[in-house]
Amino acid sequence: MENYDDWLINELKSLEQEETSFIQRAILNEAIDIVKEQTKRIEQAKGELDGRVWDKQGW
Amino acid sequence: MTTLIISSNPNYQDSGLNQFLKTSSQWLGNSIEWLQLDEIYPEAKYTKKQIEQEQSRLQQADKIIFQFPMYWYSAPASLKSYLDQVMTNQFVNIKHSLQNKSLGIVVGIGKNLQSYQAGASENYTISELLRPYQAFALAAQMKYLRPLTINQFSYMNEAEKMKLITSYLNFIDNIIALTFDEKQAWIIKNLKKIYNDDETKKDRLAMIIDQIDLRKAELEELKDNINLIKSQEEN
Repeated sequence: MENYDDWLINELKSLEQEETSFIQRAILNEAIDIVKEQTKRIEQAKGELDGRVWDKQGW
Repeated sequence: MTTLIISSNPNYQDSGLNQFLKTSSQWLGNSIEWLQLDEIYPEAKYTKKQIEQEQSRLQQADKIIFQFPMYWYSAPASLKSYLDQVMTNQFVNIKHSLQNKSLGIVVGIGKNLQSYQAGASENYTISELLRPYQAFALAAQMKYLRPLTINQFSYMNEAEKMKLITSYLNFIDNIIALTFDEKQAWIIKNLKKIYNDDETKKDRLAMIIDQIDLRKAELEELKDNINLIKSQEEN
């Protein structure tokens, strides 16, 4: 997961740095923020799922 | 969906913010119509024919934006003249011509946003100061959106300006504020518009889009599973 995140963010950053249009740079930059937020939410959701499954098993 | 942006700004030619927003809006192409009031109607007087033209323009839009720099806690005179002359009783109250359309306000302020709260130097919030437009939306049976406030544009650094572009595009491109799920779809839609003339970069971007899409699906699946367990817990 972390490796994919790094690859995704680095690739977006690299495209952003090569880009000359300010609007397209802004969109690539926003995509980086979305990817970071996805990571956070996926981790939170996995944590919540783990917690609820444990409860169900009566631990 | 089409959006009509009604920009009221007597200094539109010299306003960096106005130009910045206008250029940004062009990214969305034909779905956006830009009406620069002070340019088209410098005398702020509308003939019967012009009123009809403007009313027809309003009727064609799904979303209407009033966009202006704040002048003494209100919009510049050109917006007030427009409202007084174009938004006739017949058009708004009898024919309900604006019913179910969205009304969004984009307002530029020269002070820090924190000044606009109880006890701070300006004492009133932006939402309180914009209340007449909210009342208008209610009377016209429109959906009033959370305003987009742009403070101290001239002091913004590059990163802040980039963030402003996407906030603004998001605001004018969508009828309501997006959930995170919709934001992911929105960014994918816009990424797909980049690099149509560069095959190599287009391929690189296609891989990125696939990954963002996969992660979107992963998040949805996790949420579905959580909701399933929640519903079982409740039973």
